[in-house]
Amino acid sequence: MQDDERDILGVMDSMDTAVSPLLSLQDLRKSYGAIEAARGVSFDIFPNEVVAMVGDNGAGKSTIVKMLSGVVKPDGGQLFWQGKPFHPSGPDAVRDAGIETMFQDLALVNDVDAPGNLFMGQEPMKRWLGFLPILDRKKMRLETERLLDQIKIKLQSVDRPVRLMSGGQRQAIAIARILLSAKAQLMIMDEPTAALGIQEQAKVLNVIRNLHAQGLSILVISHNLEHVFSIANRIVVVQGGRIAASVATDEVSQQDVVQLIMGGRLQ
Amino acid sequence: MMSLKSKANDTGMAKQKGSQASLLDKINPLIIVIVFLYIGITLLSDRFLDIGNQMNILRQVAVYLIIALGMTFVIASRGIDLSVGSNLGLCAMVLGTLIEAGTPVAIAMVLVVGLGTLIGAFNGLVITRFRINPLIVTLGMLVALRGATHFFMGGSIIRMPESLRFIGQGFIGFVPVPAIIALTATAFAYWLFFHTRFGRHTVSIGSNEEACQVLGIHVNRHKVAVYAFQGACVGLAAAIIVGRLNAASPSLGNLYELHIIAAVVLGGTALYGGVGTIGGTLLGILTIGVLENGMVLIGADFHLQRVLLGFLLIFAVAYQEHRRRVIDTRAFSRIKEAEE
Ligand SMILES: Nc1ncnc2c1ncn2[C@@H]1O[C@H](COP(=O)(O)OP(=O)(O)OP(=O)(O)O)[C@@H](O)[C@H]1O
Ligand SMILES: [Mg+2]
Repeated sequence: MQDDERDILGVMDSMDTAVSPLLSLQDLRKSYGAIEAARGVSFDIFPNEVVAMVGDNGAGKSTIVKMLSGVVKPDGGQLFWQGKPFHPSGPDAVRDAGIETMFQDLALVNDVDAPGNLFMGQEPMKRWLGFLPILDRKKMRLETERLLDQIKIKLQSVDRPVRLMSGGQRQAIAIARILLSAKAQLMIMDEPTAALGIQEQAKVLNVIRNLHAQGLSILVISHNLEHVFSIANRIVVVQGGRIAASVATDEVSQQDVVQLIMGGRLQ
Repeated sequence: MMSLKSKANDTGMAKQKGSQASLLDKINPLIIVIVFLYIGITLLSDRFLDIGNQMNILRQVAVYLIIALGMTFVIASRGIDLSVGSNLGLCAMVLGTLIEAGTPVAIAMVLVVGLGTLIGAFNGLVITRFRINPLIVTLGMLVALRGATHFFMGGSIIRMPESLRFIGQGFIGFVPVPAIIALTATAFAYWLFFHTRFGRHTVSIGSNEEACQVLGIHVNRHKVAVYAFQGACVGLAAAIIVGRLNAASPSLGNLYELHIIAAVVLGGTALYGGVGTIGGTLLGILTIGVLENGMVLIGADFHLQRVLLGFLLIFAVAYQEHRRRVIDTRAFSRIKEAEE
């Protein structure tokens, strides 16, 4: 990312009062039985901002993602989307609002091929002989090839069940899926580079940069601080179900962030 | 429009590409089984190939086939419906009772398809709301519906009106009406399974329910719809069987569930969900139908037929497991080769 671009965003950050958040989390809570996975999570994501969420295994990052994407209903707290209270009825409502999510477990349907997975739940239809509605398989395949091309990850053929694909290829499909939406304003990606080789990781980081350049906001989770520092405007540190810190990337060092993740404080 | 080729997955279009894909992977092996059955039975019985007997097979399998279409959706979604036989018995008795009371045949049929649908939807609701294993829910319903039918509607009802008999026994040209209805239903089911979101989501739920939920598919609602569709198939089948027998009896449909599940699994729909094929179900039903017809012609014992059916069910599941492993291994090595 260019330095001047980051400067502008730095200014925007400091003008909280002028720019209202795209998505605002206020005191979100979620328990699984006795485990309190989220204990009052609050932070904002601003328009055209890349926010990285970091934290140890089990810190609660994915739980936060699931609450944001409508998969899990928070036990308490509030969500505001574009300034308005937001009570999504489920994942489809969140998607309709303009939030796309790539889940850590990828949410792939193993017996279905790549196009089927990309379009799952929003398959395009066409009319056969002008009257009988049928799935538009050709459109699904072409669009899949186009999107995979866009993230520049090769797939030998798209028309086999994804259970026969490698971890990286599966991850590529999960990433391509969130690029499908034309109206998305916020992309959430839970460890998008986890299963990828070095080259593919770089490609995915480029995808995130491109989305940012197109004006979207991105919430990305990663354990790789190298990546985080190369793409994020802001870093949110999660620890034990709480937000331990929210810092502008250019105001901290990697060492500082490691400290925060491990439960220390910034001097 | 019907394709009898068994794709590894009708809806998932898991095409086996590449020239080395063996013929066995592409063609449903039941086609070969049926060919051998035809040759074998023809050698043992000279009546088997009569056009009359062939049409008789079609008429016999029509009722099974219609129910099996619904069962293909249910099993592909990783469910099971053991209550179809009892549901059929109840629907048949209600139909008979309605007609005996003077209800016009068309209205009585609509009501009975509605009743079957409701019972199916009830299965689906109990399974999804209370998160009870479908095996248990529908086993309970198998017993309960049969009991209710005997309790409320004691004896058999005989002599059905001409129009209902036409549906069960009539011919158009030389083709039995039940066969025409069943084949039309098969074409419809093929479209629904292979060409619509409904079918696609059905197998997807069978393959990975959690992912479907996360992706915004209304999994519970969908499952209820699948069981309701199964019930509707049963309602339609009830009208045909009452017309064919010219009677309804409370024990009608006994053990049909075994017959139908065996055929669906034999056809290639996977008991663990995620894979289903309407063409395979048609072949599975035909295989069992031809086999039973042949055994009757040869004069084999009725109880022996049951033994055979039971073993067929076990064999079908074992074979599908094997086939899935083999095909996956082959596909894997092909892909590896292509990528190197
Ligand atoms: N469905 C669930 N049922 C019970 N406990 C759960 C469930 N999901 C998460 N948890 C628990 O909630 C806590 C937070 O988990 P979460 O997946 O949010 O962590 P995370 O920060 O994403 O970790 P990772 O970096 O390993 O992905 C953990 O203690 C986990 O065991
Ligand atoms: Mg996680």
